[in-house]
Amino acid sequence: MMTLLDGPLGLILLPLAAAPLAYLLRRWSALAGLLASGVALFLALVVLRLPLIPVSAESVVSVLGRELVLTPSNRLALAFVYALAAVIFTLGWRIPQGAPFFPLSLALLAALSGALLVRPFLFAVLLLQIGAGLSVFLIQSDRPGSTQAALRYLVLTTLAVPPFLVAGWLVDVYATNPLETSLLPTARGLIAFGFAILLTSVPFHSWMPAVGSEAPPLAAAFILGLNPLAVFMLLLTMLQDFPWLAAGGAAYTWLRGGGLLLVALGGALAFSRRSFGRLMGYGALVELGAALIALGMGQPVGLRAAVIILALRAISLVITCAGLALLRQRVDNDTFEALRSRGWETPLGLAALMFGGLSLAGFPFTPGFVGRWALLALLVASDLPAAAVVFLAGVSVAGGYLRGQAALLEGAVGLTRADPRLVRLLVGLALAAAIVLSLFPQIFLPTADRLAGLFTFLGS
Amino acid sequence: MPTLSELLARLSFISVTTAAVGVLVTAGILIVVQDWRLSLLALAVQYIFVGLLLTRVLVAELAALKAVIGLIICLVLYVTAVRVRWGQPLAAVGRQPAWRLPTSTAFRLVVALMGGLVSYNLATRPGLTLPEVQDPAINLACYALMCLGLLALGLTEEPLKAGMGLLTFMSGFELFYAGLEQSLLVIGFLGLANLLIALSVAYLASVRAAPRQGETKQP
Repeated sequence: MMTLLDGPLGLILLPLAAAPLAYLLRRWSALAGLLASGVALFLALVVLRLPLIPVSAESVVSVLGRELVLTPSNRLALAFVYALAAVIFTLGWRIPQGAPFFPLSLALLAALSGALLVRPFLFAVLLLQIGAGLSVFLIQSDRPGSTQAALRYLVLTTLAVPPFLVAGWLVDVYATNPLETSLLPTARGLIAFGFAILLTSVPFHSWMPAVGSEAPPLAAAFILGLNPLAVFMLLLTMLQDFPWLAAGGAAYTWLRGGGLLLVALGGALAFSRRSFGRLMGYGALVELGAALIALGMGQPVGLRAAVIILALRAISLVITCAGLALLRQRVDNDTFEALRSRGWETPLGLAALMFGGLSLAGFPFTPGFVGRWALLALLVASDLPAAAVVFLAGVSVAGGYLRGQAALLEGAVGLTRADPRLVRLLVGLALAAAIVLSLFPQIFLPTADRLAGLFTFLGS
Repeated sequence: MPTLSELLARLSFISVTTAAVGVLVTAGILIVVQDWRLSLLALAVQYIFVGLLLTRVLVAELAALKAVIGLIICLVLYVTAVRVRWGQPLAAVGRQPAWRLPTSTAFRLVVALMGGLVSYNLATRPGLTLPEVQDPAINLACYALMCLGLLALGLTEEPLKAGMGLLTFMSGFELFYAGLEQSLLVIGFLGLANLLIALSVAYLASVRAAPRQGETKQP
């Protein structure tokens, strides 16, 4: 008999059950943090097929007539999401992110798990929308004043739901009557429009820099890092399940064009930003655009590059946000002006912020360089102007961070308030792991290759 | 005591056309009027009209349930609006005349009229009839709710008003989608999503109105 955790249902229920517990423990944030990181780590180990709990190669559970499917591809994606969530929760354990951080992040983790597991796709989109509703509380985190980021994220994710739902109906009609091929262009158009919103294509991009600026840093890492990963996995799964979606190659042209526009816009605006949060948001946009360009190449190597870029983007965001969180403990503001000279107070925070930021820019000797290099190598051979745009966007993001660093190190202020030892240890460990990853990317690349290899819609 | 569906059945004397015009007018009010009391009243009436229109597409119990969810949403927004003094800034409480006409009203009226005309034009074009929507009045209501909802959403950065626009848009979509898909699970998910939107915008309206550091509350 199947136990609760023997199937994919447990991957949704466990974080969901832990969320109210974490809420009850909100006054003891250390306990709530331990619970949240413990749950995420446990789930990461479970999906990585520890012999503790057997998970079959493709577990399927039916819930209210819908399927929760654990495939080899979404298992790898889930393991990555849980592992990164565990890192974020561990950092949040000692760097306060507001009372609702742990319970809401756990509930959001359950929604993301559901979105990665559920079939058909329209339920995945509904779960992403419910996740956006929860994210509103996480982004705002009881901060009075501007509500721009949370509202934009909620509105745009909600507007993405109708196209997917109607497309789902068209797909059902087509499945029962395969001769009705006239439905497919409409379904294709609706799905493309839905993904354009969810993947923050121009002009639906505005929430990302706003979330970077307004959300507590680790909450921003969670939303900006993990949510696009789930959306991208949904896109790959749909391309795999519905070959007609990319028939004729127009889908790849759109992906490439949309990605290029995103990179160009992010690059054009990043350099002139005057706050670390917005700069991080534009850096994240550039990386997302780069992943879309890579997928839009329509080749297996492009898909591999896209997977690498997206995974390393999430890691870079966590490191950047850890550094920013240390700085924002001193001044609750992320502008260069407000943080002037503060870099001297937390050298580790400064190092994490700069290393993560430069990684988002694809700077050499950072994790982000691996994916950016793979993309540039592909583009130089086929589309030199696009390669130039991607390169210049990276330069712009790096320039923005170097400007920020100059402000952080302006003047010579002594080490007035050092971070607690445990905080330094945690951020130091995360930073060291990222440095190791940048020096030895071969640790990570086989997993990315395996994940990309599981999608065969581009051939093998 | 009458059941929900019986209550909705008692309102069946209202024709589909009247209900469609009703949603057009209430959605227009959401654009033109900036006063939260009137906007909330319009939203509540709109949910009742949408419930009536849904009885032509769904079983009466489900249509009634959707109308009740809508009214619960209005209640959530009402409680929030009271808590944040109906959107008046702290400094303006007691000083501002309650029913003054803002200068942007004329502009909003023109926008609402144009939105209504566009909806009517779309709904009456033969090639643009929404699939599985047989009744032209329901077709018009769907277009009107979606168009005017989007306009209401785009004309403000204030969470409560923007939320009303978003909920109006979703009402229009659900009215259309109910003809395509009648799965209880999807209807349940959409209801949950709507409730979450209402809670989220209510929360955002509360924190937006909360005094910032250094700002003091007036007695």
